[in-house]
Amino acid sequence: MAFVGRTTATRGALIRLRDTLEFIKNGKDILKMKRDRLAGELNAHLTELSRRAKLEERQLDLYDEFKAAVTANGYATVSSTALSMSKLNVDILPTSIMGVVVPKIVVREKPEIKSIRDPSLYAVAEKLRDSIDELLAVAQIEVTIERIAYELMMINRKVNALEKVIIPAYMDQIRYIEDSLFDEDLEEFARIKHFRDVAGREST
Amino acid sequence: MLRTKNLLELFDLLLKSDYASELSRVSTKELDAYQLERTFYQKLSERFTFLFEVTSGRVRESLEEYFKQIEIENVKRIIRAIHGKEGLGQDQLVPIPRRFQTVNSSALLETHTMRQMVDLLRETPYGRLRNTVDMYEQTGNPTLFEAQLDNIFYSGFWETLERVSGNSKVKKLVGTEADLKNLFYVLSLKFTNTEPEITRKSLVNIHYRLSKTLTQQLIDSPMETAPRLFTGPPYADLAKEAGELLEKKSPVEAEIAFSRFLYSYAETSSLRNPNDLVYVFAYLQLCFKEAKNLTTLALGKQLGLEEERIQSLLFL
Repeated sequence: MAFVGRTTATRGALIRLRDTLEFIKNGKDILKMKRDRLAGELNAHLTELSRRAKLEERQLDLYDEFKAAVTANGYATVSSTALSMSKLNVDILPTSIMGVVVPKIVVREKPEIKSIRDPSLYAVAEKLRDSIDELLAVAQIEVTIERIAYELMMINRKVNALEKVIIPAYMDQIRYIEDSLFDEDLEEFARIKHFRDVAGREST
Repeated sequence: MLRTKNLLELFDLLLKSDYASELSRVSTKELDAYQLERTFYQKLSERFTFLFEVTSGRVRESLEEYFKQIEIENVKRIIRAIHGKEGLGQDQLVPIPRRFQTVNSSALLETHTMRQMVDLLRETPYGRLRNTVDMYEQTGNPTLFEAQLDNIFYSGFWETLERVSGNSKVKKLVGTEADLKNLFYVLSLKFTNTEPEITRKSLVNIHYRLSKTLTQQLIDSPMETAPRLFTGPPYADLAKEAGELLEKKSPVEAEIAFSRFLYSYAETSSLRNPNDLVYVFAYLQLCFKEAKNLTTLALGKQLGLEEERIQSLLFL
């Protein structure tokens, strides 16, 4: 009852409570629709996430290749070569999916590798640079899934709270007021009937 | 060393070698392959400077000129850092005794643009780098400076060598080294799809047994047919092997093939000519080989590479 608060059993309060209940039910339906839509989005992204396993496999192969290149060229040469490369430049644009803000990563500039003279380092750097798009795409999918899943959890909690606690509480309160008003009406009817009987007897 | 289980075991073995005095200063708690690599190259630098102490005259001059390749490596590292707009510390350079330095590396490390750096090098043996600044600014390619530095090194050394009597075998060794460098650059820059104009500018001006005409033909021919331009020794087999490895996308193996060729040539020269000046230069080449092999071992152990894989990366 704490959600509904203390109300006097009046017709005005009953109308107000019925309106509020209607509004809450509509809200619950909208939340359910949002949940269904987000679940659809989540499913779509989950199928895309299957790319991760292949990507991980490729990255591990690439890492082995990189280790061999570092071992053959020496750490000092590799770190010095890495210094000559330009940085990865990305923009992170916030986009909204049914009110859930997810990042969209746009690559502005990829590292420039023409400063690498050594072919083994060039080959690894080229492959690593080419894998950036795939890595960022998978990272974007993961963040999107994480945020949608969190939002779904929150929506489920809200829908459950509405269905199991708030709506029943309002309905109980409405029923209580309806019962109270019915009792009052019945009492009023009995009183009027009694007065009418008394008045009829006096006139005869 | 190959059979050691980890870097610490390798370190223990090295403590029983020529590197003991330098390595005993390294704490085992802070031990890593980078520290070891630095020590190996410090030792290499000391081996050079020891030779300066025991030689004199033109031979010493030629050795000092040959030693400049280490300083050039440091200048290349500074160039790369400036190009990438990154800072570099003195500890990231190969240690060279002050009296054998021809550039002020501390001042170079403070520069932020190529022009500033080139201005500082104006009065040094690397003053010619200023001719490359305009092209660098047009192309944004720092490897042009690296190529110019290689040219400065080989032409300076070749010039000094001309004044040394009994230089023919040393010329043969260093000429082979320059040829291999050119052949390697032509094939590897083809592999990285570098424009032919940049490739031409990346070459060393010394053409010993790899003629200028053949080099030009190599630059202009496609990767698949380039090795076929060689009709016989000494580079036909190597070019074929390297070409095949690069086509198979195995650039590490191609690089190793070149280094193995050079070091085996140096080894043969030293064995055949123990009383000739070439023995000293072959010894220095083999010192480079040792430093590179030890670095490979240390890094391989630190990165957890298989024994067989490390072995394949060594110049044995």
